[in-house]
Formats: sequence, structure tokens, C-alpha cells
Amino acid sequence: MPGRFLPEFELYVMLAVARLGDGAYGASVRQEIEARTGRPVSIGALYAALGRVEAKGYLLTQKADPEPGRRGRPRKYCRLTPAGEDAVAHSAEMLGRMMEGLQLAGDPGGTP
Amino acid sequence: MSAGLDPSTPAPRIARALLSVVLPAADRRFALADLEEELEQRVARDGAGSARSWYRRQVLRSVLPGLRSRIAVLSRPLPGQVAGGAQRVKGALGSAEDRHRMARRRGNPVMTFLGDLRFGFRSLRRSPLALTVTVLSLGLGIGAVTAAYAVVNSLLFRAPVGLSQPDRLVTLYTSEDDGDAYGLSSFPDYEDAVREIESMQDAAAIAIRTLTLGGTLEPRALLAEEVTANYFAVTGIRPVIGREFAPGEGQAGAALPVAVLGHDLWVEQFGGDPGVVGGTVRLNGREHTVVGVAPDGVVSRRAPLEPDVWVPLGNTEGPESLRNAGLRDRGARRFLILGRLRADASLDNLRAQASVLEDRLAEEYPGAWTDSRGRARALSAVSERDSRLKPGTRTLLGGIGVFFVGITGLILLIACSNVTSLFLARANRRSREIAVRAALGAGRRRLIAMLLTEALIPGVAAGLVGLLVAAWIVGLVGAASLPMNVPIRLSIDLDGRVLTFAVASAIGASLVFGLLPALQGSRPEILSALKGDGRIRRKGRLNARDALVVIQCAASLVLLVGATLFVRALGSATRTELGVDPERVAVATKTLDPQDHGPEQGIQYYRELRSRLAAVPGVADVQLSRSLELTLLLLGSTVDVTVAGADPRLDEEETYFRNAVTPGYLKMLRIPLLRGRSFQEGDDQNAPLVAVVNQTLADRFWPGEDALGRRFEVTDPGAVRHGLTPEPRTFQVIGIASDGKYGDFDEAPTPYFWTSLYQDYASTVAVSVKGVESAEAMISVLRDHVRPEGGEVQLLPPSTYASQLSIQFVHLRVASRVLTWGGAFGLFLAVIGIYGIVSVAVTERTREMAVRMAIGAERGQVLRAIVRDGMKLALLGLALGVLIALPAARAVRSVLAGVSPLDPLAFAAGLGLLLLAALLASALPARRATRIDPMRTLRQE
Repeated sequence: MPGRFLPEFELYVMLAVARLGDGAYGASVRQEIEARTGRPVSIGALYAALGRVEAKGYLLTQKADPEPGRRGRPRKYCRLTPAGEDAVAHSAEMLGRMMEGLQLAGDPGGTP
Repeated sequence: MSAGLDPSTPAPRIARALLSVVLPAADRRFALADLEEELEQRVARDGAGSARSWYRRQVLRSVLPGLRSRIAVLSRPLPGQVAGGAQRVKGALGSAEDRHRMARRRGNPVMTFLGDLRFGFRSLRRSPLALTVTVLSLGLGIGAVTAAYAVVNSLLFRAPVGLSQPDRLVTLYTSEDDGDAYGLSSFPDYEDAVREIESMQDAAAIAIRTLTLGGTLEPRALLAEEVTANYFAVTGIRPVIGREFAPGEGQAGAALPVAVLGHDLWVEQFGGDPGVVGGTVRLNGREHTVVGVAPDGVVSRRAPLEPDVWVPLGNTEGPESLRNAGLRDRGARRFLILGRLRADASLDNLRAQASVLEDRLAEEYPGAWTDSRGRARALSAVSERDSRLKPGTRTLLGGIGVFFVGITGLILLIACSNVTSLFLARANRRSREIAVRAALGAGRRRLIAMLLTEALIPGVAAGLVGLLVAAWIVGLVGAASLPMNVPIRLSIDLDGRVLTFAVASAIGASLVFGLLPALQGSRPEILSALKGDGRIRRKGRLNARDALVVIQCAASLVLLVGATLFVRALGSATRTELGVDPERVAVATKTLDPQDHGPEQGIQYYRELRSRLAAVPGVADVQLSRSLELTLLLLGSTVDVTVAGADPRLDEEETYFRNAVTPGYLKMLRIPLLRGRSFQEGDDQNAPLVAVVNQTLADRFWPGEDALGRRFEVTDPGAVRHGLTPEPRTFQVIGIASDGKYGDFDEAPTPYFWTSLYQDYASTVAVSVKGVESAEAMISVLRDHVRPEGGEVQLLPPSTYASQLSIQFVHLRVASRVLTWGGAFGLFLAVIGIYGIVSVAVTERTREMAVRMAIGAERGQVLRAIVRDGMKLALLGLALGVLIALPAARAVRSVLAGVSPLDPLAFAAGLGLLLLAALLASALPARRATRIDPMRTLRQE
């Protein structure tokens, strides 16, 4: 199942969506990735990745129409499908297997 | 494009527009909303500036992924196809070429286009240098033309923000003293118009003034519109936060002064905080309650500027006498009347009623309603559309706009022809590939479509670069400041119309440079191309490439001649004898409140100010004057002059300017005194009134006679502003000075005279200080000793007199800078272009040269033949250029300040430079080609 291996950025996106639960939408996902990885994420790249992940059937989106509390801004909420959760778990496991027993100069298991 | 813009969020407009172009439609709304939300958080956290630059970075980084996913969305499987189908198709068809073929077989035009696009990307990626050159040179061209268009657009075309039903709005003008129909009106006339013109549902009176914003680190001058309380109701502008003025607010006796802030001021000074409503701002030393914030982009009705603040008329602290004079005097015309037509009335109804009113006013108030030519004044009603700019200004600015768009269009044309030649060369190199495609059954239309699609890639990329360049140029133009204390915020925006213009010029440019190569490339002589010798030049007729050389030479010549003319005009204007010497002199203005200082106290104050400044170390001389020659202060210093028994040729329109000065003024500015004496300290209130006149005035009133000792009568209609009554006073001529320039450096000799400030009081004076060493050192002296007090706004902040004079040359300076840069850029592009075209042509003739040399032609002969061919084209182009440049130069004669439009130097310089460029461009590659061993070239077959 070659499709189950995820490119790194898509994996980040899906992990962020999973972390945010019900509060996952464009801006929050973007900020989550930036805050956790320090990697600058552009909104264009994020939506492109969301589109790709959705096309693979790993993600469901729901459009929420403007509400007064958000200054009338629309949002697109996302959540992982069961297949998406499987894919994330699979990728993480494969990553773990590849890392097993490996000593890198950067000390991956170092201090938080 | 701005429909969905949340007006309270200062999202950079161009960036936002760019993003909404590149994002796929399905995501657009959400991504923009997400960014806006974060922008808001960041504004609160990091401030508006850093938040906006974060936004711009976001957009820039989103362009590529956005475009990529747009393409991906388009090529996703159509509904009905199995999900994942695209993946499988991709797997089955390895290369872009295959997919391309596949697409063609399917006959889906979108797929074909995308296939071409991908193929174009790949093939362009192989020549990154060509791609870069193309994108950059086209981008600069498109940027220049777009910026020029943006300026024209915002001045002439843009629909104003916020007005409701603008087609029902009408501006009412009163004719001016000189007969110009489009002048301002007085407040009593406004009140009469509201009462008597029944077609007008309601009307607002609008005046412009500057106010000082206090409570900040440095007092800041604001552009304020003083309006009647119904201004917002009449215009339909709705504050984004808070409310508009309530009826009665601002009337005499109203409890608290109020203000509505302009959007930009709100963002800059108050960080866009909605809590500002209900708080206060300090304007001219008095607290004003902020009742609302106007929407972004509201432009003044008086100039294409965005006001910083609106205050109700009569609301803001100011000299009581001035205010009353301003509102009760029928002669004090400082208001623009903006009215709304009744639903059942037409503009013609309104005009008819206005003409009834003007007749009544002229009859009832003959003094105020007669202009200086003795004719009755008139009212003119103009629709909102035609009154965004004062009608006279409109024509002038339209001309300037056409000029700039024309210049930048020429640059774009040169850039385009460069790129065309690049693509022509590419098409030639690819003739074998194209022949293969044709042999496999690709039709001519198919080939043209493919080549055009390829041209679209750099075209669109150049369009994006162009937008950035345009934003940058517009930023520069908007930030250009003049050395005077009037806040100028030109409202130039890259709105939807400008964006459309940029996109259209990008696509237009792509078609221009794509079509020629496509037409030529799609007609390969299959057999010879496949054999590899499709490079034989057909003689005798001008091919596409030759035409390009001709066009480039012509366009560059027009640019160069224009640039030289303007540079020469600037030089000649600067050399003009101004009649004043600004060396080592710095100036600033001081305004006394007529309430605190009558003429007596004022003069006392001036004497003290002079001795105080004169005691400062480094100060050589201190003089005060009512006005200052060749600066904005000259406005409003006109007076009426009559001489008993003299006939100053009444048929001529004459303006008499006078300056009231302290005794050493003429000497300090080195204004030469021809005869008689200058002023003395003793020429004060108790002495007889005296004047120094210039030669022109003396000749006008006393031709052929001695003007010394003569008397003339002066009436100052502006005296009311200084709390005085305008009554005629008689002055005696004590001296005659030589002529100079007073209002404008290219004016005709103008009658002018000086009086003694101690006899001819003014409440606003220019303080001129001459330094022992330099003018710059005097600026800080003025800053320390001539500080604005209370709500005073300095009309001229401390600056050198020389820098004030330089404002006179601003229009020439701007034009010559644009043309010089444009000319240099055009020349650069043209030289590269000509070099490229000719060298490709020469390279292709290598074989022919080899044959000639093999059968005995001398190297020099061959070289000359090639250079001759190149120069023939260049000469043809230059001749064409001269034909275009001559009438073009005549058209701008009026701003050339005495330089002849046929200036031989300008034409010689342009022709010489371009001939040299063409010579080098053809000689260098030809020399290289003739160095090659003929046998080797021929053996390559």
C-alpha cells in the first residue's frame, strides 16, 4: 500500500489536525505546526496539503458559515477519517522502526 | 474585489488581492478569513506594521503552493471517475510528453492546455537564464506601466469610497475673481443655496484646514475637513465604528467639540483600537471627543488626499474673529458645496434654480458678487463624477497621466520586443522538434496553441513581478514628501481595476511576444528542418526579427530624446535668474493670534523676535516678511493697486503682489536696488507710508517717467484675515528694484512691490535667518526660537530657503527623473535587444560567411557586409523614431521651460548613442563569426 506512506509535511498537517480535535481549521492548524516545529507554514501551502490529504480520503472537512462571534469570518473545520488515523499511526510506526537504535549527531531523543 | 474586505482590518490590499488570485476557488474564502483572523491577533500583539509584513510574507510564500494546487485541482479526475484515478493515470503515463499526447487524444481543451503548461514549464526550466531575463525585463516594464496607470486611475477614474448613490451628488461652484468657473463658495452663499435651490434635498459645506494633533511625542499636522454636521448624511459615508455627527454639533455654544477620525490616522496613531471612540484627541490644543472612525479610503472632495480627521464647522478652537469673519463674510470663499439631488429632480432643474439664485445674489450683494473683471459671478453645478477633481485640474492631470502611461508603455514595448526576439530564437532552435511534431500530425493551430501557452508562463510570472514593482513605485510616489508642513497622503491604490490592467498587460505582452514566434515557428519547412539546415536566410524581405530591431531603435530614440529634453529643461530652469539669493538663509513661519496681538503689539513682538534671534551666535542677519518670494506664502498676498491719473492698460489681466518686509530684507536676499533707497527702521507707524517697486511696476504706471517720489493707492482685500478693515492707503515710491521671479520661475515679468512690515502689518510672517556659515545651521536656531505655540501650525516648518525654492522645480524634476530612468532603462534594454537579435542573425549566417570566404572574399569585406545590414535596420528604426519624437516633443513644449522641442543636442545625443549601440551590437558578433575557420564551419554539415 504505497499510498499509506505520507510526505513529511502532510504528516505534520494530519498530526496537527488530530491534536486540535474539534478546533482544527486553517488558522489553528497553521499556528499549531509553526508553534510545535518552528517551521514557517504559509497558508497557501497548508490549504494545498489539506486538499491533497482530503483527496486521499484521510480527512473530512466541514464548512462553517460566518457567525457573529468571529467577526463574520467563515471557517473550514477538519477532522481525520479512520483511514487517516490509520495512515498517521502507520507512518509514525514506520518512522519509529527506522529510528530504532540509531544514534544521530543531533541527539534526537534529547532534552525537550 | 474589496467587497469582502473587513474595513477594520488593515490587510495589505495588494497582497490580499494577489492571494485571492492564486488560491483555488474552494479554499479562497477560508484561507483569507484565517489570515485575517491571525492578522488581527498579531496587530494586537506585535503592532500593525509587523503584522502587515507578516501578512505579506504569508502571501508571497503562498503563491507557488497556491498556483500548484490550482493546477492540481483542475487536473483532478472529473466527477464520475474513480477516486485515485488520477494517481493511476499518472503511473501509467510516465512523462509530461505522454500525458500531453494522452490529453490531446481525449480532446479535452483544459487538459490540453494543462499539458502544454507542464511541458512549457519543463522546457523553460532548461533555459533558466532566458526565463529570468524575460520575467525581469517584462516585469519591470509591466510594473512601470501599471504604476503609471494606478496614478491615473486613482486621480481620474476611481469611484470614491463610501458615497451612497454618487450619481445623485452634485458639486456647486462659485466662479472666481479671474473668471474661472470652478471656485469655492462663501458660507452665507451656502446657506442661501440650501434654502433656495429646491432640487437639492440637502447639502454640506466642506472646508479644508490643517490642525495640530497634540498629546503625541511630536505635534503632528493633520489634514482636516471642516464640514457641516450633515456631511455624513449627505455623502452617505458611514463610520465603521461609532457614529456620525449629530445635527447641531459644532454650532456655536455646542458643549463639547467632537471629531471623526480618518481610517489611516486611527490605525497609525491608535493602533486600530475600537476603544478610541468615546475617548478624546487633542486638536489645536483642545480636547475633542472621538465619536467615530471613517472607512478606509475616503478621499477629500477637494483633492485626491485622504483627510486625517473630520470636525464639524465652527467646532474647533480658533481665533474668534477669524471664525466669525469666515462664516459671515460673503467674500470669504473657502467652502465646497456638495449637495444631494432630490429623487424627483434632475441636474437641469438644479442648474435652473442655481441661475435664479446667482441673479438674486449678484443684485443684492454687488460687492461680493462681482469679480475683478467687473462681471457678475456665476454658480456652476457639476455631477459628482465630473467633480472628483476640479474640472480644470482634471484636464491637466489627464495630460500628465497620458504622458506617464505613454513613457512607460514605450518601455514595455521595448521589453516586449526583446522577449519576442528571445522566443524567436527559441522557436528557431526548436524547429527540429516542431517539425517532428508536425510530421506526427500536429496541426498548425495546435502548434500555435502550444507555443502561445509557453509564452503565457513567463508572461504571467512577469505580471506578478510587475505588480510588486508597481506596488513599490506607488509606495515611493506616495511617500514623496515636499519640504512644507502640509500633510500629503496621496491616495493611490492598487484596486481591482489596476490589478485587471496589470493582468491584461501581462497577457497582452505574452500574446505580443508569443504570437510572432508561434506564427513563424509553426510553419516549419519540414524537410529542411529535419535535415538540419533550416537556417538559410531568405533575402530581400524584412522578416519578423528585422522588424523588431526597427521598433526597438524607434522606441528607444523617443525615450532618449524625451529624457534629454527634460534634463535640459531642468538645467535651464535652475539657471534662470530668480532675482533672490537663498544662500545661507533658512526660513520658518510664525503666526500670531489676532486675538492676543493687534498690529501694535504684533509689531512690538516682531521687533523683539528680531533682536532675540540676532543675539544667537552664528546668526548674521534676521529679517521678517509677510510673504516669501517663490514660495507658497506668496498666495494670498495680492492687492489692488490704483494710481491717480495713470492708465495701467486696463484690458490686461494683472495681479499685483506685494511683500511687507523689515528694513534689511532686500539686502539679505540680494534683491538689487536700482535707484533710491531701501527701508529704514524709522519707516514705522508714525512715518509716511513708503514702498519699493520693481522695474515692471514702475514702467507700467509711469512709463518714460521717473517713478521715484510718486504715489499709488493700495487696497488689500485680504486684510480682513488679519483682523483689519480693507481700506485704500497711499504709498510713496522711495526705491526701484530690478525685476525678479516671484510666483513661478517661468513667469513673465510681473509688477511687484515691497512695503515696510512696520507700516503694513501681517499676523503671519516668514522669519528668515542668514547664517554666518550655512543655512543648515540656522534650521536648529529657528527650531529653538520660532516654536509654534498653542494651536499654531507652521505653514513652513524650519527649512532652508533653497529647499523651498526647489519646490518650484518639482514637476520638471519628477518628469526628468522618470524620463532619465526610463530612458536609461529603455536604452539598456534596447542595446541588449539589438545585440541579441543581430548576434543571432550573424551566427546563423556563419555558414554563408564561410562559403563566401572559402571562395575568396576578404574577411573585412564580409565583416562590412554584415555590419552594413545591421546598420541599415538601425537607421530605418531611428528615422521612424525621429518621426515620432518630433510631434511628441512639440506636444510637451509648454513644460520645457524655454528649451526648444527641436533641441539639436537632444536629438544628436539620442541618435549618436543608439547608432553606437547598433554598431557595437552588429560588429562584435560579426567579428567573432569571421574569425572562425571557414573549412571547419563547412565541415560541420
